[in-house]
Amino acid sequence: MTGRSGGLRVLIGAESLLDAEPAFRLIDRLSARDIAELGGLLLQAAELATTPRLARQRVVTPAGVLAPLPPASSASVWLASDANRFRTRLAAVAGARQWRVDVEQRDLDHIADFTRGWDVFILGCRLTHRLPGRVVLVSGEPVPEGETARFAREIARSAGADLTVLSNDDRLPARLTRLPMAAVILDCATAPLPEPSRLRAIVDAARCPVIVMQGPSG
Amino acid sequence: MTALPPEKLRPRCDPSSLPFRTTDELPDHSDLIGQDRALEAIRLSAEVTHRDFNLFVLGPSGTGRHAAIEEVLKAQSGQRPLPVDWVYVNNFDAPHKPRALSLPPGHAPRLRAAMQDLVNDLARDLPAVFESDEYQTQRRAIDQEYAEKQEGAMSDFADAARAEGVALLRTPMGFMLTALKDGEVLKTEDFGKLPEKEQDEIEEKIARLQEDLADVLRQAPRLERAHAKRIEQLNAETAARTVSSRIEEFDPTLRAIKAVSDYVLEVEQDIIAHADLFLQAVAQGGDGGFPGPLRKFHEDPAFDRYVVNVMVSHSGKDGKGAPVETEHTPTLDRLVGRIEHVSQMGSLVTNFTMIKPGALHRANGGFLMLEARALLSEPFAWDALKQCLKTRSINITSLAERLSMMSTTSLEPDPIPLDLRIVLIGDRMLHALLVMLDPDFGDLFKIQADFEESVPRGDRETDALYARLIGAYSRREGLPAITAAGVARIIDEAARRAEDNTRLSLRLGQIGDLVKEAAHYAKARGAARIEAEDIDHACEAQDRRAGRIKDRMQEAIGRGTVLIDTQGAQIGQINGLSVIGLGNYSFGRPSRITARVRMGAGKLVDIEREVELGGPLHSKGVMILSGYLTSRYALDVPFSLHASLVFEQSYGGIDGDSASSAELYALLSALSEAPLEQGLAVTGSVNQAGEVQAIGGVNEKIEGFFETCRARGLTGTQGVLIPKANVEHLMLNDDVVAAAREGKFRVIPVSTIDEGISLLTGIDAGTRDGTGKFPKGSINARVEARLRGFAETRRDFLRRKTDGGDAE
Repeated sequence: MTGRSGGLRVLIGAESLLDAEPAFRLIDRLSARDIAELGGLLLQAAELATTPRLARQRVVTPAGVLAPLPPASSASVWLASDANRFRTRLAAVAGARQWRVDVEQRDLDHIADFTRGWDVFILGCRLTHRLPGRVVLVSGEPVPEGETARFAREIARSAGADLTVLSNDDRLPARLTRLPMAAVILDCATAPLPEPSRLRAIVDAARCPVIVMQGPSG
Repeated sequence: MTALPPEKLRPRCDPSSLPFRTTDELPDHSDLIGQDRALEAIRLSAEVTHRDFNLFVLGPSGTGRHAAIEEVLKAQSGQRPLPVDWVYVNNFDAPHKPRALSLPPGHAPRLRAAMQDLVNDLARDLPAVFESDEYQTQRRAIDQEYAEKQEGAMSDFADAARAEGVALLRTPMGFMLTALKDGEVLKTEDFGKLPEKEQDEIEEKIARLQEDLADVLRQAPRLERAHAKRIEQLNAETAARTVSSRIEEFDPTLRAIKAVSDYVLEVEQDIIAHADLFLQAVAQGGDGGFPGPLRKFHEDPAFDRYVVNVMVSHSGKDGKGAPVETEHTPTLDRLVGRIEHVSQMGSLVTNFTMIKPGALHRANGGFLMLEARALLSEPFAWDALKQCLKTRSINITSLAERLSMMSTTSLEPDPIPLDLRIVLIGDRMLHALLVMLDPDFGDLFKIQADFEESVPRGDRETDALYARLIGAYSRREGLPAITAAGVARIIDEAARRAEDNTRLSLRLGQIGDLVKEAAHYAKARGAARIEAEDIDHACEAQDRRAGRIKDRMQEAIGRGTVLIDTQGAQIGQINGLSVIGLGNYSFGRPSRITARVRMGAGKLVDIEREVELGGPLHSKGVMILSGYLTSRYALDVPFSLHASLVFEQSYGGIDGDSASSAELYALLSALSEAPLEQGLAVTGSVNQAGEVQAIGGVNEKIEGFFETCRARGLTGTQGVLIPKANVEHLMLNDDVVAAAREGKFRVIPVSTIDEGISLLTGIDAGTRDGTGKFPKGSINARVEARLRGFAETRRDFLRRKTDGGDAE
């Protein structure tokens, strides 16, 4: 990791503001001293524009309401609007700290391109409820130590949640999928970043922000 | 008539008649003398337990009213039980209506302390309980239970969707379902290549799964509500165990009181419902102050809702001792209490802890003394007091509320039952005005204690009692002892101030001031005791200090600026005497009164009245003269006099009828053309029968004329004619008495106008003989002849006028 002496450089990546919001709330709870710079990465994958539009197809809002799909022609408008709101929200969270936002028309497959140079990468995911959940630290060590463990404890403390440690194995997505969680922390300080498909599987299973702690090489 | 002997001019108290040498030998005697009537009234008011037997104490200041009332009330209060304590506590259901609790005497501070302990203990215990592993475990179990339900539902849905080849996409608006093909999201062009039937099946699946997802998501708020209720229940149960356990330790003596027991139950429920207050206070209050067990959490405003606001508390031996309170500044707020406000964010806010007690709270169950004038001067204070007495309760209503000027939130505290005796102290004028103008006064103040201003000086016993009173006063004030001669001199002065040599003044304040001043002179000359000469010195000094105007007036007479004759004789001119009052000091001075007569239509002109300088009593006196003249002389002819009367060189108002005899003498002199002796001055009023009646200020009047005569040289023929009824009011100063003893000045009592006119003219007044005629040459014969002459002249005049008219 880099820049630890002056605080972490944290990148928040999400496919929409709705997904980024839980990540912003996590950052809000952390001490200002812990974060030196904040980055935003809005991944606007092409698949939304390329999926078929069906007559009975609807958008299911987080409140459980079935809403009509926006016309494909206006997709670029509301994506741009979402990007603006994402930028505004990030600026508010960053406060006096340095911040920047990138909007990429790519998906998680290119994650390694975006996260280079950042200490922490938080992949946002919307929560489907407001019930409390735990913070899960995914680590290769049975008793994690070091910076990632300290950061995980800080996240758990700020969220008022328990910290649970799980090992990073093939069964991880299956274990995560039924666990109520506030955040998942992947300790990648000593290991390479997971494959994009693996990362997507973890995010889909967790249904909460996934925090990737990177090593010094980033 | 003969002049009074010197001993009649100043009956002295004989020091040898006093049974002591100095007041040191006298026992303490602080009881009032001569105030039996007033004291009976005070005792009755203090002892009667029925409502509205409030007391109005009337009489002049300095008569020992306050001390006497306090003494009687304190004696009575010592036998009465201690009144109950009163506190205000929060009304948890309606905070704007604080509840009043009554407690046995002395228990209010105990309840306050018990509540403070309760808050402090729970502020330590509750956070500890909520931080305990036991609670946290239970809480997490509940969290997990509900979160797993939702996560399980979402997980099941995701599995089902995947099994049916449907992907869950996250869009900025929400979730969107779309078809999968070989684990990848099916694109539009690929979807179009599918058979129509398959397309329909995919659409059907997506439509169905959308509904399922909507159900799962709609379930989340329900689960959250259920979760919150479970947590709330857990919190309540956890708090209840801790609070109930602590409440069980609450002071059993206090809990035995029904009102307290009920209140504590409410507190228990409120603390359980607001346990978060205790957790927040601890979380926020980490900085400063004593840590942990020593921290006074009850001082935190967050816990104001559990404060016990003590309005009044009483303690005393054997449960006896009703309060005796005095409020010197009886404003509305200080009387009935007030509700304070504090400014928060620009608005005024209050709560029950800001209710402050008033004098009525402090005196409830006992006695409250108030100065009537001060009370009536304060806006709405009298009305508020009456309202409290009528309703028998203390209602705290601010002046702003009474004037409807208050727009901010305020409180409606429970009225506190009122049972006390009000003692109003005032003068007779105020009492009379209240009786006349306030219909409630008589109902609420059923007893009056009227303090005497003087006491009869019938025997030696009264002098001795008075001496003991003075002795006790000097001891109480730390003054030197007074010798018997000194006390005798004080008694003489008390008689003079009572304006009656048969009575003694009960204005003990004035007498006390005299003794204090005498003590100063005694000390200045190095004496250990106060002697008669010190009292004399003090009297003279007081007289001198106040006598500047008197001296200037005498000087004006001496220099001839004000014309007063003290020798010779003049027709229709006489020296009248008047008194000028300046607060506590008054002095007499002579005034020239002249009368002029002629034929007229029966009119007596009072020049003072014509120019509106004469008051109604003076006018009345002059009209009486007219009645005297018309009813006594020349009854068989019309009253054909035109006369005018005036106080020469008088430029201020004149009132009173004490100069009416002098005016009559001047008229008789003018009518009879008999000169009046100018060495004699006259005072006294007269009635229509010619009897001379008593007047006030006789001593000052005599002394005033004496000063004038002495300044010009006493001749031995000078003196003052006073009403005989005033002889027992004489307490003249030593100078007048000495002059009288030496035959240089006379004080002559007269009882009728005939006696007076004879003395003033040296001519017999004359009484009617058997034929109804006055002796020839007598004053009355000359007056009658003159009046008859006026009548005849008038008749001739009218006849001439009539004749002349006929001729025309």
